[in-house]
Amino acid sequence: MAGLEIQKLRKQFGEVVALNNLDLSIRSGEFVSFLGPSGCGKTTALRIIAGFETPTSGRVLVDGKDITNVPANRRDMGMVFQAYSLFPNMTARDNVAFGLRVRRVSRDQQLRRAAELLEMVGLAAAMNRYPHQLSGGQQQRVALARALAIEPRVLLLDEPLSALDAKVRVQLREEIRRIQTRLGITTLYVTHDQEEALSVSDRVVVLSQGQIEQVGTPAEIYGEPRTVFVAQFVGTMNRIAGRVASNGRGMVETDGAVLRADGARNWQNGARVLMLIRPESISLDRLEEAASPPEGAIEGRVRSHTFLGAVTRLAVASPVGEMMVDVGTAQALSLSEGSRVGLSWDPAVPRLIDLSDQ
Amino acid sequence: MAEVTREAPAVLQRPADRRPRVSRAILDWAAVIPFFAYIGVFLLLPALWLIVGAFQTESGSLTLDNIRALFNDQYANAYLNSVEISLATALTGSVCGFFVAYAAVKEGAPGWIRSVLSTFSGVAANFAGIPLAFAFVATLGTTGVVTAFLNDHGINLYQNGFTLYSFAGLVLVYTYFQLPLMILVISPALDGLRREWHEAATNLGATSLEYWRWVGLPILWPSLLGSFVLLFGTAFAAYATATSLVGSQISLVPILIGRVTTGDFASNPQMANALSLGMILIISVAMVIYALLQRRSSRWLQ
Amino acid sequence: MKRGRFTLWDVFWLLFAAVYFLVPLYGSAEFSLETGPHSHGFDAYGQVLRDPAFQDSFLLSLELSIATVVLSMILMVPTVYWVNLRLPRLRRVLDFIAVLPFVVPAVTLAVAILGVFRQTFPWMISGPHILVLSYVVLALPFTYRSLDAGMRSFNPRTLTEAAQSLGANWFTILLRVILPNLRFAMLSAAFLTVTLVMGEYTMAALMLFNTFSVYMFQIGNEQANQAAALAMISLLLTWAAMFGILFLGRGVGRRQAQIGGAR
Repeated sequence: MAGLEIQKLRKQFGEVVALNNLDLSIRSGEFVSFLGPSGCGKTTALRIIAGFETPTSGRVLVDGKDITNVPANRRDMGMVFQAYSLFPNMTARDNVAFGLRVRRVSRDQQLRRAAELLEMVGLAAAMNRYPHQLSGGQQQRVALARALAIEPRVLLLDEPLSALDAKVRVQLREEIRRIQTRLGITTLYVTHDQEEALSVSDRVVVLSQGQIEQVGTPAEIYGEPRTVFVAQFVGTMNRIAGRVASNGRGMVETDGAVLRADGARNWQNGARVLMLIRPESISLDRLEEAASPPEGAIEGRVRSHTFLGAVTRLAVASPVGEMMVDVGTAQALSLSEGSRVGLSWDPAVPRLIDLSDQ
Repeated sequence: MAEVTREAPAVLQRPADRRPRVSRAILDWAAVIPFFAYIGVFLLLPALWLIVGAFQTESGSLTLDNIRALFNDQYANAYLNSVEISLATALTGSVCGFFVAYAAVKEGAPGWIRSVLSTFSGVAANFAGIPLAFAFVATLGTTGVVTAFLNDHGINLYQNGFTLYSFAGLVLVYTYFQLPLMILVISPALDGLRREWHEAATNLGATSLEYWRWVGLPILWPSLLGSFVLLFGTAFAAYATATSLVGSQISLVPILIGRVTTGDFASNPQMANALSLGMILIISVAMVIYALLQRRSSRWLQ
Repeated sequence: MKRGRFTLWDVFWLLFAAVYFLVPLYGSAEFSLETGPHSHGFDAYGQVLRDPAFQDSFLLSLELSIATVVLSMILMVPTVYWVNLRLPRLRRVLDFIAVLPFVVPAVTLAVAILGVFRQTFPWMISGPHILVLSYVVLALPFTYRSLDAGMRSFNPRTLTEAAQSLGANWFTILLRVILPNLRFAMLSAAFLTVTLVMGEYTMAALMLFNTFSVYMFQIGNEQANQAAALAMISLLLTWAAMFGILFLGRGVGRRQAQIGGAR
């Protein structure tokens, strides 16, 4: 198994810069996701690594060896495409055996290995079926088996689940992760679905407009976003713009109120910051009409409910703007629209992002 | 949604529209009678007459003589020549047409090539007949522009045995409309070859040749063969181009039919029917094969 | 990497196609403009255009084209509409019929029609009207395909029912609801038909009518330069028709194989 490294990878299409000097190192056996909106360059990067595009400049290394100029059919990587990649004129088994056939492995061996892999993805029964006889999810499993059959050094997946139903997606992504862990193959997974990326990856690379916004574990990406983009893209986030208060006591001044944030102590007085709080981190209590909010809390009025299952997301109008707050559904039942509430949070929780050059 | 639309007219139907179901069905079919009547009178009836006529003598009695006569040299030769030229130009048209069409859909091909090619193919495919023959005569005839140009540079075509008014010349001219016809017909099939298949094959280690051998051609062959057959039928039926170029020098079935009809060719006029019957049969077989192959190829090339 | 890399091999084939298509066109253009060993001019064109036989035959062919288009539309539009609306089972039958003219090509159709009517209704084949009637058949595959595609590009059933519920009768529906939506398909079919009729030689010659192509054939055997000029005029017509279709197609974005014409 190999480690994968990209150095100063740059790709330009005429005037448009699709990738802007990307640097990344993936450990052997690691599962890394490229996460970002369409057009961010994640697929371009993947295709360059696979060998279907040539970079304008930069290098791709596998196991320390520079493979930038190695043709795509000799890179020893397995790729799973988004859809329609199974050869329609071959059965599932022959599809899986294709890579081995190219490598002139004996027919016996081919069939044995194909059966093995189809077993691993749970499709031993579909061996002799043609792609058009398989469901979308089944096709992608076969595609995975096919990519793994050649024992590649790196496994590349280009939004493999985007074209599938939601339920199948969840099932399949867990299976992919399971198989990957078992085989220990270095894996690069491209997706625009942040839930997907966060749930299966060892590390996530968030990309926007050809640049890496942040690299980190799912917990880091979710809980400690380092840029406005990451904060906005990953999960729901309350964003409040303000200035660090000059009293040194960890407060942020906004148009509507002064808010508590321990992190503000590490910032320069008056620095413009964006304060980020997750909906689930805010506590919400009913507030009597004439009462003032308790120390450190701000008042607000419930504007709408969004039922999310065990949790209900309330939109609360407050002096600092509309806040999203997640409360247990049982509690939410007693908080009808128009109810007056108080919002508070642990001052250690909010994250601050520099707004001065945004 | 469909339910709603079907309810509405019933609710708002005026009294005059409430006809009993049986006569409504009859009226439905009645509406297409003009079309079928027309086809019947101007296509089916004549065709039938022709087929029956092939089995009749001049006086009207039934006979197999005409059919038997088809195997005589003069007629058999015409069939052989027609089949030969149809096969030859179907081959040149489909092979060249395939490579040209494929070149235009590859990545790296400038974007405008596809539409320019399609437009030119449309024009060239429709340019067949008399004008095409004239164009070639003006270019490669004995006093043609290119002939003269080559003469000036020491290459004397006609003295070296080349002549436009020959089998080879016909192939050259026929290919002018076979080539674009192939391009127009095979391009949709090439579009159906998903790029993911080529990329997946490459990713798994295949060279371009291996891709074609194990994936590309197996998927494409029904379309290729179907197009070949279509070209065959087109060439077989061609009349104007051949008449204009080689007249009666080369014996081809359509030309022979024409000559029998105009009385140019001394024979029992019923032979025109017999010859036509033979041609219809051959082209029908071609069309059936084409239809079968079309169904086969649409399975994989949605 | 879409379906393979674009290499010299591909450039060769595209160049080959370009040369193959263009050289004969250049040849006839050049030939048509030659007035002497080293002089050029439009003499041949002048002679052709001034020839009353040309004018007569061109006019005749033009009239035949228009008549064929009109008759085709009157025959086909209601039929295709009705099949789409009420008789979907007939579609396969129509598809089959649309292929028949390919199996009974111009030569054969000429012999067949002459055969049938010569002895039964000779007045049928006494005038050029028989050409119109025959050309409708020859053009059938193209007009049908065009109209059918056009009919399926919008939703005639829904529109019809909507119009009916508002009180329209069949005539109004056809005229005001269906036809406007078929404009592109009809014009496309019309252009193809005109190209076909203008260029049609086989039936006209066998039935002894003096259409444009027949005239072209006669001249061709006598005057080489004029023949080339006629070929260029013919080419211009085909181009005009092609561009007509393309120009119309700009708004609709239809890309179909448009193949008609004599062979």
